[in-house]
Amino acid sequence: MSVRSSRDGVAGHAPSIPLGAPVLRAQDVRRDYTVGGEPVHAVRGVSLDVHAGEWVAIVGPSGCGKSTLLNLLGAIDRPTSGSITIAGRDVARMDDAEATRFRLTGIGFVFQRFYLMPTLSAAENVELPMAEARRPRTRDERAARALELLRYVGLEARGDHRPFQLSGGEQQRVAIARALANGPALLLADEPTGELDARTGTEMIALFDRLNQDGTTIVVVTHDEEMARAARRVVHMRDGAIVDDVVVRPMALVPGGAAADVPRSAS
Amino acid sequence: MMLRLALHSLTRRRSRTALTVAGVAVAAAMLLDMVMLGSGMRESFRGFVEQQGFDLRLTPRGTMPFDTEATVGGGAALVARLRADPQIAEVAPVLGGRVFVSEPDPVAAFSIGLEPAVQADYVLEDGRDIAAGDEMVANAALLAAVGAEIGDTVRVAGGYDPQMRRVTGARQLALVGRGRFVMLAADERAVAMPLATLQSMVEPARAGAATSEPVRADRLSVILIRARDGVDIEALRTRLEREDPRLSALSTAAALEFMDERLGYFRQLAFILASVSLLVGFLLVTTLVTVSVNERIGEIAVMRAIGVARGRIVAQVMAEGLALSAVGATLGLGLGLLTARWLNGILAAFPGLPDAFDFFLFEPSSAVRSLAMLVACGVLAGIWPAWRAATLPIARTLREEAVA
Repeated sequence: MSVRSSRDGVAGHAPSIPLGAPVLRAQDVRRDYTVGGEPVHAVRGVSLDVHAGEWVAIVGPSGCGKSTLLNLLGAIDRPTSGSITIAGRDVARMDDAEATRFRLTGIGFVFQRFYLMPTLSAAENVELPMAEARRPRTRDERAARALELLRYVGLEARGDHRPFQLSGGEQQRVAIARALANGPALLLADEPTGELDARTGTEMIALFDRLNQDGTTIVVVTHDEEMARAARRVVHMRDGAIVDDVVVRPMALVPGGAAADVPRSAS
Repeated sequence: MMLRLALHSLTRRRSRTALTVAGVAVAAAMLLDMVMLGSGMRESFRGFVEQQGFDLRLTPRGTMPFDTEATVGGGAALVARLRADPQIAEVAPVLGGRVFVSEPDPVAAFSIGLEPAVQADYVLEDGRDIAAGDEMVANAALLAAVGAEIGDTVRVAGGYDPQMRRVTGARQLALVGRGRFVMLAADERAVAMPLATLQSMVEPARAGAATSEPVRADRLSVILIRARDGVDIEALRTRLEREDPRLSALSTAAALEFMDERLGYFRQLAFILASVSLLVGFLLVTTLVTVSVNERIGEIAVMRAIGVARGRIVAQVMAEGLALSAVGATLGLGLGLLTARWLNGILAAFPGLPDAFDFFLFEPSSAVRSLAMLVACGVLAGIWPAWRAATLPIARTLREEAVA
């Protein structure tokens, strides 16, 4: 069955990844650093495959290395050893410029504290990665796509609002729209419900579920049990290593994009 | 969008940005003033010297024009000899001295004896020029002091004995014009009259001497010389000094050099203060941009995380420095001109300075250069915080921000 995932236009030239094919492959990844002169082995030989269309929740106690692993998977940190391949490209060996470009077009980030630019409107925040990537080429096209993405996350009426005029849940929705702006192969989220109340957290989980139903590959680090239950696969970490990896729900299959309504990026 | 982010970050803390811009503007104003001061006096002096249009000034050996009361005798023969010199186009003999105007309480004034046809010491403002031996031109300060008007005849004496309340060498002179004396202060009372008239007046120190001969007779304080086209001024100067050992010859270039030596300390001071201004502007911009970057370190880390290139971050931060210094420099231009005008007014009131003497000279090219230097400093000031912002460890910064 021909299906699509959300990686349309990865780096502008990424191959189309069939649903179920590996999007991310981490092999024997280690991350060591020193704190106050003491060595810390934050990630100890983690190997992990994530396939297109999966929704993986990484759970574990605080300090178990899950956020460090997410940073490594998102190419904002470098592993001490091991390899990480995303959409066929070894991100661990990219130089800074390559990694930056890859993050821009290949990976979407959602942070616990939203981290929207406070001086830009919601729509401008969504446009920011597109403007950086110059995709689409014209401002009008970028503005139109930003509005489309805001509509997807249910905030089409809030495009002109500044972050301080939005609730926490709305800010996180804008952050998700921003993460989807360049049609990434992979959406990485670090405690996306961590700053939200229970009701808003539930709404956020529903949005992630919808994203995944529409073909977006998601890896989320969470303490939120509800979020972990909603994911299709749960990876447990302890002391920097994966101790359990359970598929709890089958992967969503989205035929031919007909049911998928995540706005496509203009690659 | 990066430029907008840069400008937005400046408007986020408006009062802080306004204070920094004000600081940069003050630094820019000071820089501009120091640049104007550095060249102002020299150029002003050059203007005076060149306005007179003469190439050489002959004075009694070892003196500067009107630096002392020294004179040189045999003036008529000397002038005749100079006028016969094939390399000399024009000779303007001048005698300076004190005279006393009006009675019963004579008012002291500086008097310039000259040949009206070739004079370069005053600019006529009202009335007409001197045409006869018993005519004179006075400046406004003298007219006000003695209450005289153009058309009046006043008594002018070469000397005055205050104990005896007696004047000597007095002449009745017709006041035919009012003039501005270019080398004298505005409040300094001054009068110009034909050279022979002044020479005929008796000096006070000699008034009680056995002889009644006027000691100014045939004496000169300075002789202005205009050389013919193509004449080597320096060679002419050397020759004139050699031919008459009683004389020193000062060329315009030498006069400017002499002035330069005297103004050396001023220029050094101006240079130091200008450098301090640049440094202050640099530090102000660096401080503000660094603080601004520190406040937005999380945002910057996120921008890097979502794929904004290092170069764009550097450009954004440096744009802040550029905006601060450009706005500060623009405001500083106006402020500098205002303060220069104000300071010029204060300094110009210094006793004995020519009326039109300027301490601050506005030269657009120098002003643009110095302010461009300040703007460049502002851009450079952004380099360190920009580099810090661009090279911050993304993961660690985000972790620290989350903990904070």
